[in-house]
Amino acid sequence: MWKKVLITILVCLLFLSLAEFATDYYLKRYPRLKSSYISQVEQNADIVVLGACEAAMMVDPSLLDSLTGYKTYNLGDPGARFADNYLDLYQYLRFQKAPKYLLLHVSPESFYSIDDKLLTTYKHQAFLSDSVVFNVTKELDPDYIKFSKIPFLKYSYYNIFTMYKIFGAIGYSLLNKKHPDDRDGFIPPPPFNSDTSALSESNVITLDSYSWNSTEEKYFRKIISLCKDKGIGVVFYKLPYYHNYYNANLELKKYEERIRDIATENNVPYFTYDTAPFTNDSKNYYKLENNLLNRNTIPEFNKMLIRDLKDSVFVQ
Amino acid sequence: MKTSEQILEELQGIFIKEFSDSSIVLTDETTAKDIAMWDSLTHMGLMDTIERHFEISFSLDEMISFKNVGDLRTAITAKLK
Amino acid sequence: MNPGSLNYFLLLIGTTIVFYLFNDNKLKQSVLLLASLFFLSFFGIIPVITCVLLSILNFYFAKHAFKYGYLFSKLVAINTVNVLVLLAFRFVNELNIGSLFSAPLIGEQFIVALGIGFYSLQNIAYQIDIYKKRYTPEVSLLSFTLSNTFFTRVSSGPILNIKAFTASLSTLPSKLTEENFTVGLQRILIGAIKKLVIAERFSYYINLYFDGIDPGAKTGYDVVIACFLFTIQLYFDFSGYMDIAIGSARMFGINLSENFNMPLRSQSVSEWWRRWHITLINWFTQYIYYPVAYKFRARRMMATVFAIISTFAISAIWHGFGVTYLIWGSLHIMYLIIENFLKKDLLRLNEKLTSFYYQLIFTPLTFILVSFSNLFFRSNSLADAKRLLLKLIDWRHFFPDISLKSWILNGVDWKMEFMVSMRLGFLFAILYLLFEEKLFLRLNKSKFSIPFITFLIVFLVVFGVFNSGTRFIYMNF
Repeated sequence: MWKKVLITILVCLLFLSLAEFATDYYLKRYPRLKSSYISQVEQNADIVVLGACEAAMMVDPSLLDSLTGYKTYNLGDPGARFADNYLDLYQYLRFQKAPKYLLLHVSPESFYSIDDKLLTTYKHQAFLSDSVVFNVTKELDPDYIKFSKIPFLKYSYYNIFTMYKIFGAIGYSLLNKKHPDDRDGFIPPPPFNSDTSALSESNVITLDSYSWNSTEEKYFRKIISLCKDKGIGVVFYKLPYYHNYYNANLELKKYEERIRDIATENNVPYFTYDTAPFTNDSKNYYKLENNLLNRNTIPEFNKMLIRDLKDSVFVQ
Repeated sequence: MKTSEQILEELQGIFIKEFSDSSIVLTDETTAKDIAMWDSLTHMGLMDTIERHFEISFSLDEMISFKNVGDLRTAITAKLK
Repeated sequence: MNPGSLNYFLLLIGTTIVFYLFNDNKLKQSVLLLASLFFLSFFGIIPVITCVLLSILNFYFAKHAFKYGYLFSKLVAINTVNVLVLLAFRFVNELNIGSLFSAPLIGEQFIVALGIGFYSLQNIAYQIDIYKKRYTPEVSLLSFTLSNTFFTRVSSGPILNIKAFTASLSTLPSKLTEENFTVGLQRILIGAIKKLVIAERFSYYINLYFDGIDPGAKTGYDVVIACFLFTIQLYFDFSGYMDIAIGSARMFGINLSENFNMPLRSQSVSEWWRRWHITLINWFTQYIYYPVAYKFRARRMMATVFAIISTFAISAIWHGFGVTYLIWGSLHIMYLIIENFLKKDLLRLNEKLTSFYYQLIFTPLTFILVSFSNLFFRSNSLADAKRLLLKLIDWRHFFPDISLKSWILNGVDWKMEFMVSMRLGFLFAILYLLFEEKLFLRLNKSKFSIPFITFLIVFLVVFGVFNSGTRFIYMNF
C-alpha cells in the first residue's frame, strides 16, 4: 500500500508542476497584467506614471502625450502599495528603455497601512522566479513563500484572484489579443459618482489613529534610488484633496510635511493642488472618500499637472 | 388472556384509528419507516393510546427501545401477564 | 490551529505514527490523549484545564453516586454544575472578556473554552444514563477523558455517547490497515475540498452582506442571495469539518457517527432536522424532546407542541445568548408545529403529485424556509437582522438597478475576482450536491485507488482557497 501512496504523491507533484508551468506561461503573456504586457510589447515611454488608483485612474497618458510631446505610459495599479510599485518599476526597467521621468503619486495615506498586507502578492506570482521579486515577496509575505514551495500552491494560495486571471489569460490567448483595452495603462473611473450618502456631515471619511509605516517608507526610498541609478528624473504629485478633507484629518498635514522633507532631501519636486477651484464641490469627485476625481475633472487636473511639469521639470 | 395474534390485531386497529389510515397492515417487522404518519412527532401520542387501550404503562426507556412492532407486541404481552 | 489547517495535519500525521508504534491499548489511548491535550493547548491553558477538570469531576461523581445510590438530587447537582459552567463560558465568550485569560488566535474568532458546548452535552447525557441505569459507570478515567478531549472532534462535534465511544476504544487496531488509511484519507480530502474549494468562496459576499454596513446588502435581492449562500456555505463548511473529523478518527480505527445525511435534499423541516447535525439533534431528542413528550403524552398534540418548544428553546440558548438565536429557534418551532398539523394533507399531496413533482416543490421550499431562519442565525444582532428584513420586504427596490447583461458579466458590484470565485464555488457546490449520494458510496470503498486519490489531491490544491483563515462558524460552540 505504501508503494501506492508514494506513486500517488509523485503523480500529484507531476500534475501540479505541469499546471504551474502552464499557468506561468499563460500569465506571463496576459496583457491585462501590466507587468506581463510591458515584458512583451515595447513602450518607448519618456514618462512613466506610478502609484495606486490615484495614478492609474487619475492621470491620462493621451493628454500628457498631446500636450507635452512626451510619450507616456501609466504603470499605476489600483490597490498597489509602494512595494508593489517598486516591483512594477523594477519589472518595467528589465524589459523597457528607462524613461526620462517618473511621475509618482505620494500622499500621507500612502504610508498608512490598515493591515499588514504591504505587498499585493498575487500580482507578482508569475514572476516569482526572478530573485528581486522573490526576495521582496519573502520579506513581506513569508507565509506565502513557505507554501509556494509546493507546486501550484503559489497560485492557489490566493486562489480567488488567480482563477480570475487564469480565465482572462486563456480568453485573451484564444482570442489572440495582444494588447489590453487601455494600451497606455490608463484605467478611467466609471462614468458616474459613487454613492456618498453614508459619509458623515463634513462629506469626508476620517481616518482613525494614523501611523506612519516605516516599511512603506523603505520601499518608497527604494523607488527613488532605483530611479537615481537609472538616471530617471523623479516627480512627486498628490491628488487635489476635497476642501474639507484636511479639516477632518488635521493630523495628516504633518505627514505631508514629512513627505516634503524627503522630497527636498532627494531634490524631487512635489506638486499638490489642494487649492484648485474644483476642490470646493463634492460633485467633482468620483469617490469622495479617496479624493478620486470624476471623468469631467480629470482633464482639468492633468492640465494643471502638465503646466507645472513644463514650468519646473522639463525646462532642464 | 390475549393471544399474540389478538394483540397484533388490536394494535393494527389502534394504528388505523390513530393515523386515520385504513390501509395500514402490521406485521412484527413493521417499523416507523413503513408507516408514513409514524415518526418522533407522533410516537408519544401513539404510545399513550396503546397504553390506555391495554391499561398498561411503559417507561420512557421502554418506549424508545421498540425497534419494530414485534418488540412492541412482546412488551405488551409481558405487561399483560 | 484550527482543524483543516496545516498544523492540524502535522499533528494528525505525527500522532498516527506514534500511535502505531505501541501495541498496548492503554498506551495507544494515552498517545491520543496527549495529542488531544496538545491540540487544546493551542487555544490556551483554560480550554485544557476546563475539559480535563470537568471530565475528572463527572467521572468520579458518577462512579461514587452509582456505588452509593444515585439519587435524583445528585443528578440535579452534577448537571447543574455542567450546565452552569457551560453557560458561564458562553457568557464570557459573548462579552470577549476571555481575552484576559488566554492568547487569542491570530485572525481566528476568539474561543474561551473550546468545545465546551459539545463535551458538556456528552457529560450531561452520561450522568443521566448512569442515573437511569442504562449503563454502568465507565471504569477507565483515561478513556473517559479521551472521549471529551479527543482532538479530531473536540471543537465542533460529532457528539459522542461516552459509553459507546469508550467501548470502541477497547478495540484499537494494532496496524494501520489499507482500509482505515484509504477510507480515512478519502474522507479527509473530501472534507478539505468542501471547506477550501467550496465554502471558502462564499465568505467574501456573506461577510459583506451580513457584517458590512456600507455597502453591505443594498437590496432585497442581496439579502436573499446572502441567506441562500450562507445556508450552502454552512453546510459545506460544517459537513467538511465533519468529514475531516471522521476521516482523522478513522486513521486510528475509530468510527465516529455521521453527522449529516444530505440535508439539502430535505422535503420538510422535520426531515431537515433528521439530516442536519444528527448527533446534536439526537442528543436533544433523547434528553429533552422525548422526556417532555413522554411526561405530557396524555395531552396528545399539546405534548408534541410543548416538546418541540422546549427542545428548540434550549437549542437556541445552547447556540448563543442573542435574541437572534431565539427568533431562529422560534421560526423552527413554528415550522414544525405547522408541519405537524398539515402532516396528513402533505402526505395526500405527495400521492397526488407523485413524489417527483412533490420533491420539485418541497425541496426548494424547505431550503427557503431554513435559509430565512438563517437570516437571524447569522445576523450579528437584532438591529442587523431588522435592517436586512426591512430591505427584504422593500418590494419596490428589490432588484438591483442594473441590466441583465451587466448582472451576468459583472455581478452586482465591481469586485470581479470575488464574483467569479463565488460563481465557481457555486458551480462546484451544485455538481457536488447532484452527485453526493454516488460520491458517498465511492468514499467508502476501501481499496487505495491511485487515480481517485490523485484526482482529489490535485483538485484540492488547484482550486482550494488557502490563505484566509477558514472561518468555521460552529467552532465557537
